[in-house]
Amino acid sequence: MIEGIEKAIDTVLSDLDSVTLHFLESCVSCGICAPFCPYTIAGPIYEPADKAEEMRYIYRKKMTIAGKVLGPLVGAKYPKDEKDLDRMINMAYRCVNCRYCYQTCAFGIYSGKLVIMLRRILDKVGRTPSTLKYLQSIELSDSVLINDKVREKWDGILKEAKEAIGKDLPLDKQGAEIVYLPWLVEALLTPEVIVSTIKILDMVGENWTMPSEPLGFEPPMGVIVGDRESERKVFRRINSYIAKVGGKKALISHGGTPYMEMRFEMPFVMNEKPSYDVIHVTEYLSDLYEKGKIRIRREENGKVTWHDPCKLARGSGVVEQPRILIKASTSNYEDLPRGTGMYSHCCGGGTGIALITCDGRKLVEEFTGEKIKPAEWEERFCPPLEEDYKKAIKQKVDEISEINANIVVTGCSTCIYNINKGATLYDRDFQAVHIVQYLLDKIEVT
Amino acid sequence: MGLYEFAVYDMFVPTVAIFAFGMVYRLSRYVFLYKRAAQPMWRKTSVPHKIYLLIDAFVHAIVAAIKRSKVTFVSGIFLLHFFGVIPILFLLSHHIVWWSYYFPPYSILSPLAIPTSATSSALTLTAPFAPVTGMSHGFVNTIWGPLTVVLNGDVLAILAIIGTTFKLLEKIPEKFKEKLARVRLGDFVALLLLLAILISGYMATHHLPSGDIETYKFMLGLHILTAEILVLLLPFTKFFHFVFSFWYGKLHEAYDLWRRGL
Repeated sequence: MIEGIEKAIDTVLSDLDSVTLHFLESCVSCGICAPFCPYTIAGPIYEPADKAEEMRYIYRKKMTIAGKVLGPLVGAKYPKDEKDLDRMINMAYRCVNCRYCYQTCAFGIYSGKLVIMLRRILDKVGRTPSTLKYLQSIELSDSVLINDKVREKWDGILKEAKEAIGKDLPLDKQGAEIVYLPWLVEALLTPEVIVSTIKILDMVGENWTMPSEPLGFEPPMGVIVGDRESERKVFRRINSYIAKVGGKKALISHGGTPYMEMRFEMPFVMNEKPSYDVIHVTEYLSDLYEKGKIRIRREENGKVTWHDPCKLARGSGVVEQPRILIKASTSNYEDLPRGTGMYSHCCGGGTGIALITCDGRKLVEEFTGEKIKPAEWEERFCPPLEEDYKKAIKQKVDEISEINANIVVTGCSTCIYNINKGATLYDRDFQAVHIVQYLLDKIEVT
Repeated sequence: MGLYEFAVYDMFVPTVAIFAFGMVYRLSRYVFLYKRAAQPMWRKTSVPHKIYLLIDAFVHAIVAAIKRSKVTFVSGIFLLHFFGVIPILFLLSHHIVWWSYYFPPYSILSPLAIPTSATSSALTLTAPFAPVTGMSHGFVNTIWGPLTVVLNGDVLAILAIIGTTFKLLEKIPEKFKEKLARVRLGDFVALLLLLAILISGYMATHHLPSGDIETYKFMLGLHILTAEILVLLLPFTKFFHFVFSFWYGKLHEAYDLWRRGL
């Protein structure tokens, strides 16, 4: 038996609720979810229901009478050796939690949630990829600007923003209506998004503020690595900051994990309703546009499309707003062909996947100037994941190529990184940009 | 005592009792694990849109299967469920009589009864003359009209047998060649049991393999017994989706869609 595994399982299954029980008990193995998962392309064993089955093995062994009595005969077992752990981690990190399996399941089962439970067990037995552990430790530090190199980069972004608006940034200002929350992952992947958002906030004369340093790397990293306690700690930090400055709306430009988690999951995790609204910059801009506070100048620069980030669209219902804005800017807009909104196809690299590939690790190391030492088991884990990740993002770039789009507008830094990486890898002639970058020069304040 | 008597007289009460116990056990787990938590701020959606999302939650997996899992749609959803088990179980004339015996209000569905035989259904349309009969109607008197050529017990049972057999055969390479974890031993047990119910029912209806009364009683007894086994296993197996988890899952999904304003 693996050291600590029983305790890990006890902890993870101790907060089981009726909805998760349904996810664990109701799969009939129909496989309808399979073609929609970005990682099925890595092999049928990575279909959503197969990945979730790893968690079901454990659940049956721990919590069902048949599982306790009949064991493997009824698919009930605990991981017992390195081989089992290797298989578990391969399953747990070939899921981007894009919710497409949930949307296409005949029984409303969210397999991604069970994969996160697997990550929680793995985290407790020391099987979280070292890059994610490192990033989590950054997030849990008193300051995410962990060293001079990171601080220098952050200061550089603030300096550029200050120069762009021609005045001091309203950092940590009390009584602002809007609290803009940029994260360190944006400084790593899309620093220009932070600058563009600041310029827009200034341009429209908003009463706004932002923290002098990010409140997290990609909060909550706890949800990505599977550590509920660190999730709560980071949420508490964010809540107390917003309470301190007295903001009414938290504005987020990164439409990946942080937006969906703060908007829809935080109240469950913290068991309290936040005192502020959480809005994505796309919602903010479309609200200004619909109220007539801004105009959007038309410019024809090739075919434009919108990639729905899974956590922004399927996870949070932001579907129409970006289309209203983009269609106001161009007559050459076309939706992606394989599905939009609730049925959009994931870019393939979210929920930590892009950053735990070998390339992702190098990117983080270059950003922080610190060396991340991978564990011995990661040598087996990382190279095949890198290959599967490339296959997953290829599906997205192929979809974009089908309509010959020149500009892929989106609202998530991770999606931008993955799509642009795919375009480079597969020699495609398009570029992904964030919606604030895309609209910045087209917005006119009325 | 023969198999028929055993199935009808001895097994009925234990079957209902085990089913009831299993249902209470399963449902109580859901009740006891229910956790009330703070809610996020719901997105505003109109009532018509909420109704649309509710319907969509039940429909979109089927649409997804039509688009990307055509084999699953044809064999699993269309043949096995829509055209097989569901109409046979609830609307086959013999079954309506059975349901109504134990639950009299069920007889309200009698006008929707599906005739058993393909032959009589076909004759309704194809015979050049009406038979001499003392009844008020010539052939099969049903609101389904010409549809009975397809909508009859024989055809539906054969479609359901094809669908079930296909699903069973499909799972063999999935389990042993592709080594898919999601394919479980229980899937084979469930499908074999379903196949046994369908085949024994079809054979009993057609007095197969021979027309003598003992063979008929044995086959009918086997049909009833295997159906009872399904009922008593229902709360503990994937058949539970039929009475609870499908409905719970889809209603929860619709609730989630409302919350997120999709």
